[in-house]
Amino acid sequence: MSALVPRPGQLVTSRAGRDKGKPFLVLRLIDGRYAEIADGDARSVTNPKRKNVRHLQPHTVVHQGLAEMLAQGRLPSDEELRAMLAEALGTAARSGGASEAGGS
Amino acid sequence: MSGAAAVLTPAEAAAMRRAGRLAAAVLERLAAHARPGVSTARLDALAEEWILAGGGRPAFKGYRGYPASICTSINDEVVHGIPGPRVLADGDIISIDVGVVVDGLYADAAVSVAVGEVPPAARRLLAAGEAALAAGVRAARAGARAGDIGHAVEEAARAAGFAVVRDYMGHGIGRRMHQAPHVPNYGPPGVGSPLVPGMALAIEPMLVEGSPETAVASDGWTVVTVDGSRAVHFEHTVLVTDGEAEILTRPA
Repeated sequence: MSALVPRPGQLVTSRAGRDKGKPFLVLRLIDGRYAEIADGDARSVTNPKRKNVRHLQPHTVVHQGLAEMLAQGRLPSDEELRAMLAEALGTAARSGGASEAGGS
Repeated sequence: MSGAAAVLTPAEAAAMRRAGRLAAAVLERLAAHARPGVSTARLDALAEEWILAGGGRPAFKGYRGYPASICTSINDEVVHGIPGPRVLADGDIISIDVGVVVDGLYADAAVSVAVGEVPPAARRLLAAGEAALAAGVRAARAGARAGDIGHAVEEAARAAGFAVVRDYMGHGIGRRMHQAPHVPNYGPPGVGSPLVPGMALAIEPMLVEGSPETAVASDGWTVVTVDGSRAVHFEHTVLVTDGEAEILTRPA
């Protein structure tokens, strides 16, 4: 069963660094190896954190609204992103906290 | 995917060999049963029966709520297809993915096979998928990096005229089904996690006839090609050594 590569709009948790354990949403993938992530708070939409995807734990939740917005080349405000992150975390909690996205 | 890349102890490697042999045997028997008129639910029932009889546990069943013991993905379905009432038809390609746990160690293997007679284009895709897996396995040796595997897979696929799916990838495997390192099916060589002896990897190229763009179907699991083109999926669990990788899921 293959593992999921993080994609824009996806809920992820940092697995390494000072932000270890914190949730973020993926804004952009770079070469499939790095992801720009933000939470609208410590990491703003305009200053996202670039992380190696190996250091991210993908959840099975993708925020579709954000994914569509990013696909259209638009960015949310930090306030909107915080709300999206809260929604994504709520969805993850309702689905049992799915965190080891492989199934993906 | 979580945790650092693990190096198996000799006892763990031995258990994973048992898991691998069982997964390979089940997969081989399932492939032989993938004939026109057989439902994918029937294949799933057989797989579960054989896994349990072999002293293992189906690794996929219950994994993040996945409802079956195997994945059965047909034609434009890339991976993670859920077995059900769908009946195989002459000319289909089916990808069967099996996961087995023995004594706490996981093995993961997949194969795509033709159902009855398939068009020449489908046969070429099947052959290319198998060759891409072989290339990836050859690149998995101590001193190399995970990206070397992906590079080898992508080059093999490209040489055959096909693209690789980028949204899903292989992974480390051991006491968890998905663990570090990531094993992509594309990218430059010389990047990614260093491979060391005793590390177990699931190498699993997914090749498509058309665009590699994928989507997830409404069941929340089945991954399909967006353009509807055929896909294949081949996978081995291997143990990294100083020489050639030991294929743990090779049929006897």
